[in-house]
Amino acid sequence: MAELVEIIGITHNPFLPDMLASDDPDPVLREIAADYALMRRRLADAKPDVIVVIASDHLNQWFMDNMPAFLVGKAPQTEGPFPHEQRNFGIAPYKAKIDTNLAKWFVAEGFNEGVDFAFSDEFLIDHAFTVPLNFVRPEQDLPIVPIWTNVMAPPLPPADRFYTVGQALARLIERWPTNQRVAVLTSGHLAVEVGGPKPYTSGSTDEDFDRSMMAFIEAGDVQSVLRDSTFERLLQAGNVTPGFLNYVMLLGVAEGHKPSAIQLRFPRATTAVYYIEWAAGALA
Amino acid sequence: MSRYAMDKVFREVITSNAAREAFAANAESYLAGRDLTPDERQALITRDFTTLYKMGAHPFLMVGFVATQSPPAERGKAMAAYQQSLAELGYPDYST
Repeated sequence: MAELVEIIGITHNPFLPDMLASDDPDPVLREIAADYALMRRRLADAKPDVIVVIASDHLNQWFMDNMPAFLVGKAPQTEGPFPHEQRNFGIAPYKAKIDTNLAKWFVAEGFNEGVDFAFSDEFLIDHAFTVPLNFVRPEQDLPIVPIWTNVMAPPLPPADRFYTVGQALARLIERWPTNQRVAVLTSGHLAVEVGGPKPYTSGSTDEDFDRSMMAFIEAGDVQSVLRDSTFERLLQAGNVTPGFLNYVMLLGVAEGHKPSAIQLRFPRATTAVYYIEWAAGALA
Repeated sequence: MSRYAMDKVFREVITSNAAREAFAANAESYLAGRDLTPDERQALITRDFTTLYKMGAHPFLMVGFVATQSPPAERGKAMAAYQQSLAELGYPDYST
């Protein structure tokens, strides 16, 4: 059977790579660079054969003409981000093969685990995938399985659904009849606003939300995370904060265990930056 | 209300150079035949971003759309003005 060897949650803030590469004197940025270098090492140390990447799409690939709640990408390869994202944000590209055996396993066996995944054989990955992948696996040498969640176009699946789909993914990985080592990488948001009245270039829009949610995750307090992850509460923290739901799914993958490492930092010029990590030993 | 038709215009203009040029050349003809209310159509033609937000345009798409409607040198100013214009508007329902 396959083995779940590492779980990592980080941000996909498209401005962060440039900020880390800049000469901005904010000392927190140096700490974040060290944090993400650590996550890169931890992923490498886990020696995964494949990375399952749970992320969203910013109405680039999926749109309200046909919006999946949860979708598995099963084409042989993929790349991104979209040309207009590269144009507007200067986001570095990423190209990866897809482990189509695992992708098909998720879809076919998902039905037996209570999840009807949509699937697609043609897509690009947007910055929600490419930014975290470039942070922790810039070598672009491992196959991935992209899993999209709808955190952008309401009605969204409720938080407990994200959690149970995460649990189903953990079971599907454990039941996969191979000896492959599987890592799970997730990107999402803490409090953030884009396109609403709150500014999005001057720190977190709700530090209390950021601190309390990360404290709940650190304590393995799934019930409090679920209680505070209603669409209304997330919207109140900032209008794109429903991206937090991807971490609710990650908690499900980790079966609510306490993470082995967690970090939360507040740089001056952008939203909170953080990592959440479950090494294999934290999942027992 | 035809938020879906509005959002679709934003997405086209954001992602496609051809759509952006056609919309810039003649917004009225670009929007012809689309399922928009007269108010939505007017707000799109006049680039009345505040009204579009108020009518429930998707905020994430609005940001990309606003950015495409100014030359790069004026973009920062346009984005700041857009954001400030929303101060009293809260969070209108943007579901389609």
